[in-house]
Amino acid sequence: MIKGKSAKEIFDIRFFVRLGCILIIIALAIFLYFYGKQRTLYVDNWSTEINGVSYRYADWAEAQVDDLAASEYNPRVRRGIPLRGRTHTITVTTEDDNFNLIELDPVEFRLPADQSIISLPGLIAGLPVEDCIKEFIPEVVEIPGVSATDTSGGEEAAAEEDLFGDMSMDF
Amino acid sequence: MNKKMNRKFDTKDFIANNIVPIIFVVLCIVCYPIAGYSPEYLIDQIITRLVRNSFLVLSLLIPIMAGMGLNFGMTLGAMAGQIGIVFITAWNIVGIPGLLLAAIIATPIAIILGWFCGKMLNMAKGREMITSYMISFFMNGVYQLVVLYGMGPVIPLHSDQVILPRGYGVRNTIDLINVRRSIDNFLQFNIGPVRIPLLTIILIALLCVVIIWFRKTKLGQDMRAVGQDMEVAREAGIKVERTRILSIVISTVFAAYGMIIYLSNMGTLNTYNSHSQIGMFSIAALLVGGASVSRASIKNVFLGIVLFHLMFILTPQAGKNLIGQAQIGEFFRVFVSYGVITLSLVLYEIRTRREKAESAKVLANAQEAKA
Repeated sequence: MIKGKSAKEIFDIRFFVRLGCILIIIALAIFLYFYGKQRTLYVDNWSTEINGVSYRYADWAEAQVDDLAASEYNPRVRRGIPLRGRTHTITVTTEDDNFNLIELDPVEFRLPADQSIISLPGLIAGLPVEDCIKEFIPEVVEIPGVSATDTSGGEEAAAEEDLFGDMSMDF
Repeated sequence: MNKKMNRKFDTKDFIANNIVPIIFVVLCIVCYPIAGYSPEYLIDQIITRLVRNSFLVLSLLIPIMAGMGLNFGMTLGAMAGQIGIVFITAWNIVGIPGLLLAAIIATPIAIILGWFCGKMLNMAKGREMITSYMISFFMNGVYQLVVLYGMGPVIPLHSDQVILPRGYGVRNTIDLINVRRSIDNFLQFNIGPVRIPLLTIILIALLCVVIIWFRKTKLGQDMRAVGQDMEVAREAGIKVERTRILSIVISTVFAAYGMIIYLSNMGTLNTYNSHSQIGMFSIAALLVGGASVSRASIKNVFLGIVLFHLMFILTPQAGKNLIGQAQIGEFFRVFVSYGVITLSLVLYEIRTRREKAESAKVLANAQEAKA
């Protein structure tokens, strides 16, 4: 087939060992991609509406994701937590009207997107975690007088264009 | 062995053979008291820089063994490493898994580039260094074309962190916060104020062991034979061209890994410039350690990096204390790098001519005696 070699000579044990090694490396790369990917979870203590029902923010809450340090959440606080992997656990502590601490059972959840948001008021109300977590899509707020199509990166792009000019300095 | 031991120590020869390291040692000794740094600070800085650069400089050893001189084409490996880093940053893969993935992405690119470079160098036998230098410039253009115009529309990358706001082209500077010092911080311990990045040291030691082992393998022996005399090696049945290509491929792949370690240590990727100077500085560091175009060892690598960086640390402060200008260190960095390479090439040429003249004289004397 190749340079007069027969199929038996080409597909010998060495060929399959090499093929096996390449496949193992590809499998490792796929594993590393999923294992090492960092996603952001926003833990949110804003009033929210889930399935048509409104839930008011908690006056005070503390949330701990996995074994990371717990954070306190006052009303209308939202914090981003970088996480690796898809499945995580959140433990929420809050207080009732008489200031008694209530620790909710740890809840396991799966991140639906690279940027997700989880609602503390929903979790405190006892809703299933699937209802409380969703993809985080930042809101675009239009400011009067500022064009939405303004490409502020234009200057940076122009600076990149000057690159070849800079290179001539080396010679 | 006995002959070697009985040979009389010649100071003149020693100085002539080690002129570059001697100049650097003298410079460092002069600058050290003027700079006024504490020994702890200097040791910490040297260790940090040693682990940052060792892998890159070690990648230069194999082509020297194969008689291909200083591989300026290691820049190609550095480009491959950078492409791997760009991908993992765009995909947001963090920590050591990210760096491993970058290495996996960089490997095939480095193999292809190394093979291409090796092929070219086989067509320009005897002019390997200047050819590899020119290839690195040529490939730099291709790299810039791919990174500046290909990434985004052709190669689908959509990360704001990496891609320019216009929608294509990679940003001039990429923050590698997700992988910064992830190898160094893993298994790191402190001895007083000095940080010891154990995992990086283990990786470098592993590469040293691989190089020592490689020299004893069949391929390693073939490379040494090719390095000494290509025609004799060919007569002995060694596939000279294949062996030379392999040496460049191995060097390019190691350079790609070295660049990944270097960038993770630095924490910033200068997309369009990081690779361009790395070949020059790595070669200069190796030469400072006493290596030559035809002979280099692991001890040259470490001695060179220590002396080279010691000078970079000391001269800005010494310059500032002497004439109030820290910028003098930067000037030093550039002209010393180029100067060292020039000096080494000139010394190598002088030595080769002298050896040729001496062997011709010996041959003439032998012929006279025979007649």
